[in-house]
Amino acid sequence: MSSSSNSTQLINCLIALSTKNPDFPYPLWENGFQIETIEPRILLSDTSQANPDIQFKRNNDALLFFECKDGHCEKNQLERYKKLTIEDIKRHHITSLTSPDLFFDLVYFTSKQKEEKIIQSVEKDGNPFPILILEESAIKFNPKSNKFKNPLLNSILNEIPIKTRVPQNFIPFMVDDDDKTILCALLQHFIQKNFIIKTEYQFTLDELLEELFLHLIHHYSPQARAELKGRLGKLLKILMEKDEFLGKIVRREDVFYVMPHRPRSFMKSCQKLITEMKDEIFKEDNKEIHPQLTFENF
Amino acid sequence: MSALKETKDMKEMKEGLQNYLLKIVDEDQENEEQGNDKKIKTYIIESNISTPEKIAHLPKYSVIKPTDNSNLKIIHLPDIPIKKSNKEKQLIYLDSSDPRFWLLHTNVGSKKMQAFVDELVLKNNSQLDFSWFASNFLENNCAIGQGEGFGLKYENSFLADTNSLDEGPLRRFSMLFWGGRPSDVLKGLKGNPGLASGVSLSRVKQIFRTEDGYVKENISRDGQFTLTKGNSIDSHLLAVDNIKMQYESIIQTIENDYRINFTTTENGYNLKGTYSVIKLEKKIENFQVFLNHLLSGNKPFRIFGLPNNVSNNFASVFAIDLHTNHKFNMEISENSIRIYLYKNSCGNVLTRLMTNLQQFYDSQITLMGCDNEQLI
Repeated sequence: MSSSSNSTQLINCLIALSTKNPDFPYPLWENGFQIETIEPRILLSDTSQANPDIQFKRNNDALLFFECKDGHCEKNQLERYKKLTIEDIKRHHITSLTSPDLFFDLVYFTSKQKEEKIIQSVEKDGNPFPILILEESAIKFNPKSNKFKNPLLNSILNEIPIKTRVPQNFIPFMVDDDDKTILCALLQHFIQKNFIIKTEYQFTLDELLEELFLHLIHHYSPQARAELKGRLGKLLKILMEKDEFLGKIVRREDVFYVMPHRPRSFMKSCQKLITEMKDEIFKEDNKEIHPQLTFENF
Repeated sequence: MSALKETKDMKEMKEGLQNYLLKIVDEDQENEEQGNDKKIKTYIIESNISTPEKIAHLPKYSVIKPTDNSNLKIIHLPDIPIKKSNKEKQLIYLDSSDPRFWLLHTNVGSKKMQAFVDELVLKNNSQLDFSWFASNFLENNCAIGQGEGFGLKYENSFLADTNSLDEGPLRRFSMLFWGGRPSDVLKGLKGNPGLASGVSLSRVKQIFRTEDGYVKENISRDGQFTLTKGNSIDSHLLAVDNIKMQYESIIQTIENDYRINFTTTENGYNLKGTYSVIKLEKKIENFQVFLNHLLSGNKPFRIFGLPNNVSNNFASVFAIDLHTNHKFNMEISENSIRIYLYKNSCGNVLTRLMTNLQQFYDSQITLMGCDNEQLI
């Protein structure tokens, strides 16, 4: 079974925890934490950059940064976080909070499967930050890691029972999701365009990237964008070779054209492709063109 | 019988409808439940286009004409199916004073009018939709006066084997009840575990009294009001407006609070809104059948979807609402459906989904928002 990548799950989980919603716990929201920024960029005094995944704010004085990990804890990144100071945050105006007593916490967040890899960093690299683990039925604080500076966080994030699946579609897909997931988003996009644009839908990979990854694309590094473009290009190439789409998706130099289709037949072709597609189909290709990307690539 | 006439403004339209109502009641005293072909009908049409001039697919041979009032149009229906002896004009008043919810007033016969509205609304990308009155909306929000009866219509179309003769889950259930204490009858039916999932209201009948007079209204799940008896067109218009406002309020709540909207900030992105949840009382037994049926793009759901991460009890779906062509996503599990509408999604997709799941899957489903608030 294919699934959303761990990174996508973790990000969506954090959004759910901080967004009032019908069926998933939201202790961050209940205690006044609001999403301030997704993927903030903070230039440090040594000219390097810290780039956590989500930034929350509370009242006028508390910030909370999350670093979602889908693998081990890179020493280089950890060192940057260790160097991050409140002055860096103030200097670059990355928050609307104005209190002179502004302070922040930074926390690593990972899945149960990757817990061991992250915990190693506590002893090995002196990771001073709290670590939260997403398990099947709870989100738990790992006692081997350090506590939060903010005592409120120690109480509300110690253990959060989960009774329903983690919401996955605040952000339905990210760069390190599998091909099938991205292909679903791609075909959903083409079907929509086919209805709206009566003539052919034409785009370059850059334009497609903008339209498809609207929610986050401006925060990706040039390297990450290039990798994504490569991935989309590869998926389009595979699509163009599929019987259902022969001659219907074509490329002329850098421009792709999705020809106008009869809606019913186009939808049927897309559904057939996704239904019959084994998750492993593109696996070998993935290994070549898409080593699992993690947030720190961006 | 006097016909409805072309009018130049709303006042004339109202006077024409009032005269027609008084006349038709005199002619039809003994035939309240039949002969709806002569009755005044009003449809509430949900619109995502700015003006009627921009209707993409006006049904064949019908003609739309302006009046002195820019919010009032007259639609002439083709003469072809009308008997030669019937010289009366077949026309519909289109009132777009509320740009989101248009009103169609007419006395055109039921079948012909239904065919017209279907053709107007059901074309892909029409940007028009019915107002979908879910069973619990009909029961709770349309109780504007004295209850006089109801209609139930349920057909389980999510069964793997629809032809099986074995007695299994409830397959079909329909009935019409006219008489006293309809809410007690309904309560009794709902209390029967074998029937509860099929107690899906297709219409309710209400007597609505005002200082101006009264009307008896049949209010249907597709947003149609049939004025079966009465003496006050103002009361009819008030009844329609009253229910329209309640429906509009639900759509506004959905679109304000239950759409995911990322906004760009100087340093990143902010998020507003969340998902809503359809709570399923009856577990989905055959997941594949459920997905195939729901996501085919066919009427009445008009949802096309690409299921991902499919297992025996879960699927994440990339969907398109064929009414507006907006993207939205769903997480379908055996006990619930989470619906993620995005920035421009139309809230009507949820009322359509709810109304039709109640008719074709389980009448007991509810649409839940935050704080355990039942949206529908």
